[in-house]
Amino acid sequence: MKIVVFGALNAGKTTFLERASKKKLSVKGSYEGMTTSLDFTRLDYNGETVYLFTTPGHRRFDFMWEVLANGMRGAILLIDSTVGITEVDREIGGLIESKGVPYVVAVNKSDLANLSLDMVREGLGISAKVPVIPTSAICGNGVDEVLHRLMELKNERRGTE
Amino acid sequence: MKEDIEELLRNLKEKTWGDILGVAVVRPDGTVMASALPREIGEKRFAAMALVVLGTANRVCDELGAGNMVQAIIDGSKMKAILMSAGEKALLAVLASKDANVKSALSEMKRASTEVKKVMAKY
Ligand SMILES: Nc1nc2c(ncn2[C@@H]2O[C@H](COP(=O)(O)OP(=O)(O)OP(=O)(O)O)[C@@H](O)[C@H]2O)c(=O)[nH]1
Ligand SMILES: [Mg+2]
Repeated sequence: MKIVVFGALNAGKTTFLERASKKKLSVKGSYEGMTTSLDFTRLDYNGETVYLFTTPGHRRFDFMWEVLANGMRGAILLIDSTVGITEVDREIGGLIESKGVPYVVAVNKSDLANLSLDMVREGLGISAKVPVIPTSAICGNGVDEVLHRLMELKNERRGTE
Repeated sequence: MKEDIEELLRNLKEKTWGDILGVAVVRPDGTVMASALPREIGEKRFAAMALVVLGTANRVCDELGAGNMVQAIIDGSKMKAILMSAGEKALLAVLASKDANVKSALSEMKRASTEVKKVMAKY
């Protein structure tokens, strides 16, 4: 199953992926810390193989958002809580919504800033059904919860289909 | 440095007798260092896409244990794109006509990429 981590430049997508997979990525598609192609890892979630991708955050590579969204079964939108909600976040949120897949919003760098989850919800204009979870990709807080909630959503949906 | 590289790109286009329609030298962050592209090609977009493709191809080689990536060739029904790295700090991206002689384009590109490396090392 394919899951894609989206988010603005520097939000912590690559760090999140490393934390979620509990290993350092052997090869990263990056240059001086900025992702310039994609990151990819495989992990096992209760016997299900999850293919986790991250997108580059820089606008220059925005065509990759659409490319990577192709065939995804779930998404994670990472917000940089030291920056707040920006136009890029809203645009990516709209892209994910348009794909109709379950997704979770992770309010990252929660170790540095305390962004109100209601404000995130309001800023993105998302329904109450979308989980918004504070995370710290550096410390690890919330990372497993994000994956867990996403898998739950996906399985709920599978149940009603 | 930009001028030196632009000169290099003009030479490359001339030597290949119309096979090469456009060239760009792209920095590892996806920005354009120098280019000589047809007007209808957006150079920023082309550069970013070239970097993504080459980066991903590199990744594939690594994952498969296919060794070092030499070049990536995209064969379109109307045009080709040929991408190769030019040292650590640049990549060379070429747009070629659909009937281009790939072998000779590649050998000219290799020469050009060595030149680009030399120019970059000077600065
Ligand atoms: N304090 C803190 N720093 C973080 C956290 N997550 C990521 N960072 C730092 O933020 C910087 C950017 O992290 P990356 O994971 O490279 O961000 P990214 O979203 O992949 O960036 P792009 O791919 O270039 O868009 C790095 O210096 C990370 O160490 C976090 O939860 N807390
Ligand atoms: Mg990244």
